[in-house]
Amino acid sequence: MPYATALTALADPTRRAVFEKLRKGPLAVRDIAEGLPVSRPAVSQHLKALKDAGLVRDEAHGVTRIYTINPAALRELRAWLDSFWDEPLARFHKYVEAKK
Amino acid sequence: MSGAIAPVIKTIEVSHSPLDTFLAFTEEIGAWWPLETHTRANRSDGERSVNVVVEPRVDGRIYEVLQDGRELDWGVVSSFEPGVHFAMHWRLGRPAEEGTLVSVRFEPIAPSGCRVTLTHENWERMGEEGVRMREAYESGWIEVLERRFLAHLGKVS
Repeated sequence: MPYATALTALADPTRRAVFEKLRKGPLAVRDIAEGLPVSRPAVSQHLKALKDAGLVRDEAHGVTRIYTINPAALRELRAWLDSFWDEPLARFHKYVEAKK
Repeated sequence: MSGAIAPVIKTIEVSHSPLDTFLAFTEEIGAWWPLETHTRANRSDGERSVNVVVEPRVDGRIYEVLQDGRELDWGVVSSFEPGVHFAMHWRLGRPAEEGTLVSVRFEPIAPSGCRVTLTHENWERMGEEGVRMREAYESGWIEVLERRFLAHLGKVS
């Protein structure tokens, strides 16, 4: 269940702040760390956790690494959110049809 | 499309009249709602939900009841037209201005059934909140799912 891993990774507020920094586009670690009240090594740790959860990807650009959001992971989470009502409606369907 | 997030739309068809189906959806919600999974109760703290109540009028509350009698609000009824339409301002503990809209339409279908269409929208109303690092969140899951994450999807989709 990759969405569960992704949600667990995003439940940490600092990590979520790191993730949100990538909203506007790809960034290097030093740009992600800018404005965040945590050290650059700590930001790197969070990026590693986000990468392990499939939420971000990284690519080498010379001596630095550029991080981007992984759109596939977002689609998967969106699908999971869409499914919120499936179970309540399935229960409702069963309940109402059993009322005959 | 920036700023707007596609609504969640779900449809089912049942063999009861729109009025009976409407009443089952609202008055009897506690009998069918998945209380063990889809609630605000914090199960890791030992909280359990025993009921869900929809007060049958506009401005009525929707809330769950815990095993110790405490009530957790889910939202407020914004439309209550028996047999036709039911809507609720869905907050799950967040500020009112960040609430979404859950709207349920009941339409007759041949020969004597009903089509139920549920639409969950206004995700973009939650807006984008600045990065606040040390905020204590009431519920990480709801926070992640319904505000941050959907606000985020609005930006990338």
